[in-house]
Amino acid sequence: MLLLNKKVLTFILAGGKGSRLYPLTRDRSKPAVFFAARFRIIDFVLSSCINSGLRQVYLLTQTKSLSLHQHLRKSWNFLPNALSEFIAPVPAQQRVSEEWYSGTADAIYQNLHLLEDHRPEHVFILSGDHIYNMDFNELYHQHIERGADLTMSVLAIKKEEAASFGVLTMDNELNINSFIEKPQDPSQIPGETDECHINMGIYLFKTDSLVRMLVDDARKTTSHDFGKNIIPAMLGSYRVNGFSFENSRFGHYWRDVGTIRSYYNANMEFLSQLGSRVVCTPEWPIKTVGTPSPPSFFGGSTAVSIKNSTVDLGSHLYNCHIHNSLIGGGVTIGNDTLIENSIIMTDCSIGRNCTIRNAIFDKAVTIPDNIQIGCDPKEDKDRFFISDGIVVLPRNYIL
Amino acid sequence: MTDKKKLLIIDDDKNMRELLELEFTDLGYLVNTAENAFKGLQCLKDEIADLVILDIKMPGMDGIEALEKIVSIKRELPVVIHSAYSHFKENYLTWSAVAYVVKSGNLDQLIQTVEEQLR
Repeated sequence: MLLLNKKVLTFILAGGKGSRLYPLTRDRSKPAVFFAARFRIIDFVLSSCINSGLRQVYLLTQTKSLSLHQHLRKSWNFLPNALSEFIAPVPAQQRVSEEWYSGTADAIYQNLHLLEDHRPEHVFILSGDHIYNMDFNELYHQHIERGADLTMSVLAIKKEEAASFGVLTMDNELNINSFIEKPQDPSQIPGETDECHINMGIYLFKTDSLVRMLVDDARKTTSHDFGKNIIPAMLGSYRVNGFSFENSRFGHYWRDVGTIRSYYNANMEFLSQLGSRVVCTPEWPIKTVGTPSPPSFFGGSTAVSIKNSTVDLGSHLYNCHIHNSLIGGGVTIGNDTLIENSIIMTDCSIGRNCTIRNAIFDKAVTIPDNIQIGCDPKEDKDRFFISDGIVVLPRNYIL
Repeated sequence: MTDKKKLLIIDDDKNMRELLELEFTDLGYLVNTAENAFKGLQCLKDEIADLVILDIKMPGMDGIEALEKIVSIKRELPVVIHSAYSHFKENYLTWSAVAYVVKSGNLDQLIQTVEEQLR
């Protein structure tokens, strides 16, 4: 049963700077960064909202928000206002104070008037930074059945990877009894050898409990952050439950793409059978901008060779070789060019006889003929921006 | 130096301001008053207060908006809402106040609330 008729309001925190994804975030916030050379990162959480029936959605934006706002207008502006359904961006307005959002909790606190306008019984607060699918009905039903003040989705990961997340412990009744943000020594799951439960940034609050915690936190000098302040302060006095993501409908795939390396790996994973079929399935469509582009064209006198790759609409490929790569829409690639293990985003133009390996090209990069990238690390270092060992060419870069 | 606690009363009703000023002055408080929220906020910038008694229904900026601004500029300053209307208690935007007292002819509850907060 869809959440459509429930008194639930959804906030998506979409103001992430994504500093470690520079230069992909030079001109846009993290949720607006392309993924798989077709989608934007925000498309995944928004698709899960729509597919689950969450259709009263506010996106809280802050830094470098123009790109995200344009994407929302072009791609996500289809819900009927007449049915009180909407996906509405809310830029930081300094409505309450003269400060921008100082933390995730402050972002919601500064928009308490929206809770007062809608008077929902429960509030989803979701991160706009992650790649995953989720049927939020499952979490909602557990939340209601258990009468929780807060239900948060949790994921088991290897202990060595857990230190950069919020790590929690849970009893057999799913009650969360400890929570530490980015601990030096993460607490392991009892009985497991080397796994920890982490916070996925997916919360469902009882509205009254949420408001009480937010106004209390606003009175204190804290980071005004859900992970650092709100959740630890709730333990012991509120019913805080975990929802096991692994046991849910799409519980086998969740990726945090916080760094260039993790972003690159998640994109490459998308190419594999595991990634693409898990993340994009017919019964759980991922929406994105639908431009009126013609089909892609594969021309030239000899065959274009494409292996284990995707090519979006409106691209022109001539006698080139594309291996293990993601090619966006409106891309032109010249004769005898080899592209391998790379992500080439929308509207790029790559000349003839080039070799591009292990690289990320942001939107509208232009490369002339006879260029080698990713072949000689020393030469790359002198000419290009490299992050986590990967050449990343920023938007509108012309070589 | 005085150790008297300082109250700021923001209320557009002149009689109520005078009544509260008399009562709390008699009880040993230093009392400052403002006839609207703008003047009240200016008072908070110019002078120290230990607690604010805040009306809600006022012309121009109402007490709800004033409360948001008080929390943003004086994070830890306790605010007691003192309104003739009880239904604003349900409004999430009033929950930043430390207490909500409905106006009545008897000031006992308001006095008790202020004393508890400043104890």
